[in-house]
Amino acid sequence: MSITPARVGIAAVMVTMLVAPPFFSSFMLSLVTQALIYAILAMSLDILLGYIGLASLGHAAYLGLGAYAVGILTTRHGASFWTTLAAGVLLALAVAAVFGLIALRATSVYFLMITLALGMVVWGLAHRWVSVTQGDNGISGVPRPTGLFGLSFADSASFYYLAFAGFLLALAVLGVIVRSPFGLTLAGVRESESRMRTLGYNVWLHKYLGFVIAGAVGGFAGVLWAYYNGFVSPADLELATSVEILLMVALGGRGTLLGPALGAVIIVLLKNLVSVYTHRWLLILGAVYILTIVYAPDGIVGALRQWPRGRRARAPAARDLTGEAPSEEGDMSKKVTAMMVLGVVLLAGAPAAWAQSKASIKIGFLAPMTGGAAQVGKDMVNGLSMWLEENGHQIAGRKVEVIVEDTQGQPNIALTKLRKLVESDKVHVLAGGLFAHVGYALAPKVDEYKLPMLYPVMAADDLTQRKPTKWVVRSGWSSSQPSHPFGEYVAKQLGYKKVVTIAIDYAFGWEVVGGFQKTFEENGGQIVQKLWPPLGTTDFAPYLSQIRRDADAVFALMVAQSSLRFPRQYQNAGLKARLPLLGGGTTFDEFVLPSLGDEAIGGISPLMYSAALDTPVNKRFVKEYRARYKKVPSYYSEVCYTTGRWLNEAAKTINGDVEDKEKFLAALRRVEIPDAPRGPVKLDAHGNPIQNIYIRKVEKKDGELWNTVIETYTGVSQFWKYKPEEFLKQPVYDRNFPPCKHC
Amino acid sequence: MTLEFWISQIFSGVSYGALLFLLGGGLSLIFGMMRIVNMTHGSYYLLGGYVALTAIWRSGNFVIGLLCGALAIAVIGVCEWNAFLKRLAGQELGQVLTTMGFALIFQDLALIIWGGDPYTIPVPAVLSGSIQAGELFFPVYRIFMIVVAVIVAVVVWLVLDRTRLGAMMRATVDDPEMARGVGINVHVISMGVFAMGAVLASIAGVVAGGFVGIYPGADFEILPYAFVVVIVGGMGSLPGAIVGSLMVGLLDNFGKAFFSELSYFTLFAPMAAILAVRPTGLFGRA
Repeated sequence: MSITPARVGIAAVMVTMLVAPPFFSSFMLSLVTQALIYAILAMSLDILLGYIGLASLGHAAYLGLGAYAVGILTTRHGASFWTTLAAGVLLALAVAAVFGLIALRATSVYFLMITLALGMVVWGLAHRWVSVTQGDNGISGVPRPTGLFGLSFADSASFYYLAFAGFLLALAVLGVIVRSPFGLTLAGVRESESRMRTLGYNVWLHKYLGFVIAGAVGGFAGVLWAYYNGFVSPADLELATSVEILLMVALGGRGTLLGPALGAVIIVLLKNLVSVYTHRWLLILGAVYILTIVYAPDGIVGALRQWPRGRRARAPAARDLTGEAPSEEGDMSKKVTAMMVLGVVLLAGAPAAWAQSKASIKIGFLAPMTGGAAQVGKDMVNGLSMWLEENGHQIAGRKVEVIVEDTQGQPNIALTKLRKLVESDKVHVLAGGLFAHVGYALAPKVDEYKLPMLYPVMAADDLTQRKPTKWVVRSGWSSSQPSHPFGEYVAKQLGYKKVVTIAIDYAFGWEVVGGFQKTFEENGGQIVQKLWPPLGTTDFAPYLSQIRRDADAVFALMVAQSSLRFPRQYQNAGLKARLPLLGGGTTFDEFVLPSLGDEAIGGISPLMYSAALDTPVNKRFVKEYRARYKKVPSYYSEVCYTTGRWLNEAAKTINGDVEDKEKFLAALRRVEIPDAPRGPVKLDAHGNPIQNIYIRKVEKKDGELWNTVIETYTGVSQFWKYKPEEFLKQPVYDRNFPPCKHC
Repeated sequence: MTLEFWISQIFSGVSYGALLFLLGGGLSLIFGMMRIVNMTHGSYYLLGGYVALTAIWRSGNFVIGLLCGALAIAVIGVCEWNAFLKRLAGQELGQVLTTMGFALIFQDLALIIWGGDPYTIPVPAVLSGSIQAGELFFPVYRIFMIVVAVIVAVVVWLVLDRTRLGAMMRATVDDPEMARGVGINVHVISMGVFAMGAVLASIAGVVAGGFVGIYPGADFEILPYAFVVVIVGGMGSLPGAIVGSLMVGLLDNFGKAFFSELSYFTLFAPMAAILAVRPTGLFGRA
């Protein structure tokens, strides 16, 4: 093997990658790890796009297949790394083998469309086949591999090396393949299918094998991705992800293997680093898409190849097919190498740019600021801001700095933002988050970071029940807590005998319905039908027309944007007049009431807060809040307001020494607030608030909708009237528990 | 299962299909006639809805909103095509990435301009409420969606098949060089086709805005559906778009009703099966 500048350069980059990690911040290290995994994925797609010349719009499916294999096998069967690796790659390979048969019947634009449809098939299964994939909840708590070659890969530095090894392996395997006669034949097919056929090659078989190899390597990337993230969700295999992989390949330069890897590194770093500085990173990413096509249609590698010798434009046919740089292209190689080295140096220097300030207490706050739940996020941030403003932006006498990160309501994005807050911003305490499944996804990470996090909103039952999490402190509630008294109330006070439930199909929905069903049936009621529309359902018609008309009432659990749509669709389907509408607290929450019309009137629901609560503390709170934000506070506002106070009470007892995390955590757990707007709050032995639950009815007063309190249950614990030990023996509420005996 | 159940399921499937037709029809037009894979189509839908919303807030008139949305999107679409897409003929990858870039930019611009709150487009009182027929309730707005889709389908068909303009469009698509030879301004005609496709998406956005609301993320949520309609029906075929959208609407509905857990599978798997047999879709020509 001759020594060329390209080889020297690549070797230099590899050595740098090998020795650099100790100099990276842990945030940077995890970004580079992420980039390496995407690099594997981009290289696998390059086989299709660069060497066969077929653009696929469904490549994220293989990432998803590999990732789900790991998620399911590790969390349910405790499988080892090698088992999951084999399973993930084989699953992706098998699916690619089937899809290849279908997709390769088409070319060009039709191939694009067929792969899109096939990608959607896999996405659809991940999204809705809840009993296998957990649906929108995603699969959380995938443990990092330990005991591999006697080593543990739990921390980010060692996992980086695992990913790097995976990258080198993929590079080697794919490199050998593209240089082999088989690889050259693929390139020949790309240039002229008919000529290759005439020469006697089995063109279809070559394309097919290339397709399957690309899928299998994509699955390999998925395996690493699941271990890296500790979490798998349908968002991993969305259409947008597939397009992003295409961009990585096109940006780096298709048909060059290392080019797409470079493209992946650039895109991953761009997405994550730019979002540190500006919320407008989508504009920048969009511009990158367009500029790539306008200025560098052959990618960075292609552009650099043409650049030094002026207009020595080369036809794609003449492009170096082997990925090897002939000597006259030494210039180019040097430039690529220089860029890569520069990149590594920049990354190593980056931590200095984020030097932390010591004086103030930093709170990392997660909330959906964009997407369907943005309104909820705004209420959350307003609540916390209001407390801070009223108290001079100080906690225990120290200045407070709040860093708000947008989760878009999605678990995978929330995880990335959590990582950023902890590793890059070095916050002292975390708070916020929306959706129970996000709560389940974040909890293991929070424990890993050993940093206290307050959950004012995320109500996932098991975090204070069967899967207690040391570092999560709940200042809000647990999903089934209001449902327990409500089940009894509906059976005894309202006297309904048969109820149909319709609830959003994810952890929160299951737990709210489960709690209601348990106490409702124990008091003589019957749940006669359970319907589960997925999160993000826009059109409820297919579910509404199934509702049994012989029931007495309907119990609906809606969240975020579905609360906005459901009541009107319920009325328009002619159901409101026939079946009274009951709901979980979020169905008729104050965040949505101003956007609803008369269709919501009469809705009855339980929660630990109502803006209509007639106490002096709450009246002041509502008045002040309205003055500031021109809006009635919702329960989201109240819990986040109280969370501000919670932090203060805890920090005060330890003289503001929040740097001592263990002490701070213990203090957070001891907090008692006798006069929150919602009423008295203190934690039970399992760390969930004991508080009042109010039964509320939507009524119109002075042209506004209010949740009038019609019954109060004081001091309700998450275990209701049951003994905790007894209660914890039953499984956590889910889709099938309690079973629907009367359906 | 009662008759009532079947009728209301079919009704909601058809009305959802009507919405998908408005969206997919435009995409199919751009796709089939101009061979452009347009990932920005979902953004036209979203922006059309937002512009209409603002116009309705200002004017209080639903129709004015609809027209403003359509006009704005036509302008945006024409600019995008003129400045970028027309140079990318035959380069699917370039088209996908460029239009995806625009989709991301539009998504962020919409967020800057209209914020993250979900809105519902206020609909005229005539269109709200439901019509009761015995045990059955038919929401008026859903009927309106079907009517709009039928009108649009007829208009598009008339324009393409029965007018001189339509003939010019078809000629331009079949053989641009010959078309230029006989004096057709190919550039203007192509621009017109693209604008027409974009306008259909914006109409879909306005109609959907009164039904499911308009909110950040709606663009990428609906985009796969639009593609599936086009894929199944066959690109560039009006009957294909009609059949495709009805099929998707009904499959989606019945899938959710009968096989809740496999509902997307029952939607997308038949598509894959159709494509396996006919890679160009039901009505497509290669």
